[in-house]
Amino acid sequence: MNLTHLKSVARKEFRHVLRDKQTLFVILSLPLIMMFLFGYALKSEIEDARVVVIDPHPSDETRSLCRALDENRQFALAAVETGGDPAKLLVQHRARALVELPVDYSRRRDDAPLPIGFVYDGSDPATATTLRAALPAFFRTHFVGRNKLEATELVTTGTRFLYNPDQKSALFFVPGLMATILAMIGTLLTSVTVTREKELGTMTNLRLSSLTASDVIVGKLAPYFAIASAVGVFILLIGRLAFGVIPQGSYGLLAWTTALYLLVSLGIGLLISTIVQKQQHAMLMGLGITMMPTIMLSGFVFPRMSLPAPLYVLSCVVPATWYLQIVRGIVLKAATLKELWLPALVLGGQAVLLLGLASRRFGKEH
Amino acid sequence: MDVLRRFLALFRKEFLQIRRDPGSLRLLFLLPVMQTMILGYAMTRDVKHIALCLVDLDHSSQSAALSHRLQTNGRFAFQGNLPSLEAAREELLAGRILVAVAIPEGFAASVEGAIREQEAPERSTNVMVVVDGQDAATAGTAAAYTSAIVSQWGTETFQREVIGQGLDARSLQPFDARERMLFNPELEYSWYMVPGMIILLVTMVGALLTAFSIVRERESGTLEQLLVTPVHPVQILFGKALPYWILSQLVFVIALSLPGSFYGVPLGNANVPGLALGVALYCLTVVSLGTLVSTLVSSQQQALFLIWFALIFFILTSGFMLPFESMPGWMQTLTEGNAVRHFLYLVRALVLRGASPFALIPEYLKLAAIGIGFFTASVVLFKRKAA
Amino acid sequence: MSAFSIRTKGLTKRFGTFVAVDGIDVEVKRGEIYGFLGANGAGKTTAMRMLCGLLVPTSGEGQVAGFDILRETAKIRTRIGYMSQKFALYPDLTLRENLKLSTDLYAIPRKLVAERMDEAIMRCEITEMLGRVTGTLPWGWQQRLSLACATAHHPEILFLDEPTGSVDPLSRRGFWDLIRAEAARGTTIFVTTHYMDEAEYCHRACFLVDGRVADVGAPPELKARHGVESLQDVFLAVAAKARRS
Repeated sequence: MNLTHLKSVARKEFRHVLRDKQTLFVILSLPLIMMFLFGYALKSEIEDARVVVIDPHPSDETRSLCRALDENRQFALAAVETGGDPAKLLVQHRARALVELPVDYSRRRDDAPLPIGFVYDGSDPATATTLRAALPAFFRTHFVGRNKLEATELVTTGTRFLYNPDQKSALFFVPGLMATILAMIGTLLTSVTVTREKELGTMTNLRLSSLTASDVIVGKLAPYFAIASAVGVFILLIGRLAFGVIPQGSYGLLAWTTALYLLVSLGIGLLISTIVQKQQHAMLMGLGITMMPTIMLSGFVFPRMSLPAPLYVLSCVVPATWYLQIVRGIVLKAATLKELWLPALVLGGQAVLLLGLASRRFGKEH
Repeated sequence: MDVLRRFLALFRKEFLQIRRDPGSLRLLFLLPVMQTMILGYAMTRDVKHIALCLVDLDHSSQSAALSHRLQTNGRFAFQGNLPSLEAAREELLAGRILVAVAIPEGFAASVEGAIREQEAPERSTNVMVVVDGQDAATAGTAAAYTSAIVSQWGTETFQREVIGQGLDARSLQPFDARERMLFNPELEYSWYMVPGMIILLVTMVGALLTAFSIVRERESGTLEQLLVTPVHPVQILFGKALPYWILSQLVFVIALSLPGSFYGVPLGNANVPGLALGVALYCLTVVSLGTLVSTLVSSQQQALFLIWFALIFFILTSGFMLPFESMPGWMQTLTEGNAVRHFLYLVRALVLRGASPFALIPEYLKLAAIGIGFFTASVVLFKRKAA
Repeated sequence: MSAFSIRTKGLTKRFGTFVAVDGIDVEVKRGEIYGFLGANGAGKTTAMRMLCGLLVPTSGEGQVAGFDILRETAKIRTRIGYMSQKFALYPDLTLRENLKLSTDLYAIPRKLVAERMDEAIMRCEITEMLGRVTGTLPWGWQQRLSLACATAHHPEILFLDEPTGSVDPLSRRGFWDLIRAEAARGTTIFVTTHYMDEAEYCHRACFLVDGRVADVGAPPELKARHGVESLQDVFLAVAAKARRS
């Protein structure tokens, strides 16, 4: 590998990349927008879930019940009807849940419990599950003090959360975004750009020159490595400035493990470029391989522990899974290499494997 | 007549080119179908296999009973009993468990004391739950679940003991909850997520292919060549949009039927003409997004990143993964222009709730408006760029 | 019926502060081969694109095939043929399919399509390889196919933008034979090139320097005027004062 040759390839590539200001703008704005969304607009807790109450015999008691329901942060009273078909109301999506009060609500009955109907819209299982627990719980607390023998809470729990005591969602999504965005940028940029050269035929010029395959590979990947690193730093910066996410652990560890992860992403991109001939195919394949598995299987949005066994195995192949463990470890619990040796090793292994395979194929083509 | 002839010639050419690119066709069909089939099971926010450890510092029959309840609950993957809270903390730090439940010393005494008092206990007995909080969503759900189990054990124990002492437990419960779960009685997450995933994948592919096709012609000079002929710019755009519009709909139908039936999504519920209309209108917005982006970029790479950018924004704010109603009001209003949101709502309403298409007229209108809006903007910008 | 196929007066194109074409007056006679010469960046392609209706002029006026280039571009497009540097053919369509597309785009009457296609094929000497996918054809064939597509509808004026780039000298000569045959049929040819030796084939040549017409005339006339032996030397003499290259 000749250093001067390498530098000339890299310099040319850098210039080419920097000329495409629109793409650079997109690459930098994307993390910004995503963090904004996750930080301010997207929440996984249920708030203001619409509830319709069917109250055949309105009274002061039922009205105060409805008021209390609406005031509760979790619910929003959509309407109070005197009758109606729950199924129809829910089909129309007027509410996520429906409460059917009995006619004789106001009559105090000390010996028989009141039949109250809860009808839930199951089409969104997450909301339905939450409401299914939250609505009856609300009613239980509402009824405390009503009967002679009161609702009991024999045993209560006090919950403590490690690492993220305030359950700040930023601490959860910043690492996730790093894993997702870096993977996609690294792979997509590399695969499409290298394939573009193949398609345009400019690769032949390199073939005829005195550059070796490794000069070309390293020289070509260098700018994308730099850009992706810059984006990573950018994400951490915003995370810190806008959301107060400060890594508890070592920045150095974070830096070189991120570098490993980038090498993996770039390796995938390069590998794709040796398989396809057209940019369009590189793009489709790149998206297919990185986007869904990274978001679905890495543990970013959906918990890994809920995966059925074969998918769990698949998730172990996805690089983002390991990188996410590392970033979460460093950011949240000041983990060191002692705890993170396994993920780091896996990433290292994947980087070597992918880059090696890609380089060999690349060299063979030339 | 000449107008039609020119348009048909362009349309035919596009189809020929699509057919002659089997690689793209393969990826176009395989990507959504395979990914959804495989990953459908991953898309659950339900927390299962919770790794749990117990620390029983009381060693009484009461604490044993509570432990047993936790150990045998299907959602937990019981990892064992630990001797101390410190040991539990270590396991948590090492990431080997998610939840640790510590039953304090004096638990039995406290519980039995409360039962003796019969009426509302002056004090409740407290059990400690420590959770690995790295992933807020999972941690929250796991914690809530654990608390619910413990609390329920408490209530059942109290009721059982109280009945044993001859009191009517029924009056302990002020109300009798009669529950009905409509539309998705088993609460299958896949039913909810699969349509969304297909929409996401088909949108991505549809918009990208349309945009790529136009940008490629610009890069190779064939677009300029077309502009020098009597063909009108609108005909060019239509000639591009129409084939991909047809193709996207085809992919969508196949992608919905195959993984859909695989996961048992109740496709039969849906009103077919209503669904077909929705698919047609939505694919219009997808293809129009592609044409619009093609007027804003000069290379295929730029098209890729711009579309990716737009789609991430649309998808995250559509209510696909996280509940739409949880978004702040101003955000919800902003998404009126988000075709993914409207179409997702439409599909879920038709398929999961068996809604009538007439109730969804606002959604159809919004989709049509967005599609026509995007396409019109494309035409305007295309003419400007061409001139 | 004007004696001129193309006529411009003060035709100008500005991109921001950069003046690509600076008030050119051009007159191209019917049926002549008119060469538009100059270095890269002199403004040749920009001028041509304005004449074809691909670019809107900043100021000035012009008529192509008797139609105004500002207001009647649609009519102009039915009368002209255009061949770009890149040949602009669909690589995944066959030779025949590319040609057929052209006949449809120009709406050649259906009865005449087969006849015109055969004639174009013969004329441009691409009689074999009709079923071959265009991307696999040798460069020379693609060049001639491009010409066939541009002339199947028998245009009044043929615009050629650097048609002989990246082709070997022998093919270049062969291609110019085709062009001259085309002109002999009465088609006006407007061709840009930076190969000064090709300008010898033109009836008249116009030298563009810094977006302005530096000199125009028949090759012998130009050579005599500048007292040189070749048009290459004419160009050097004229371009000596060029500021951009």
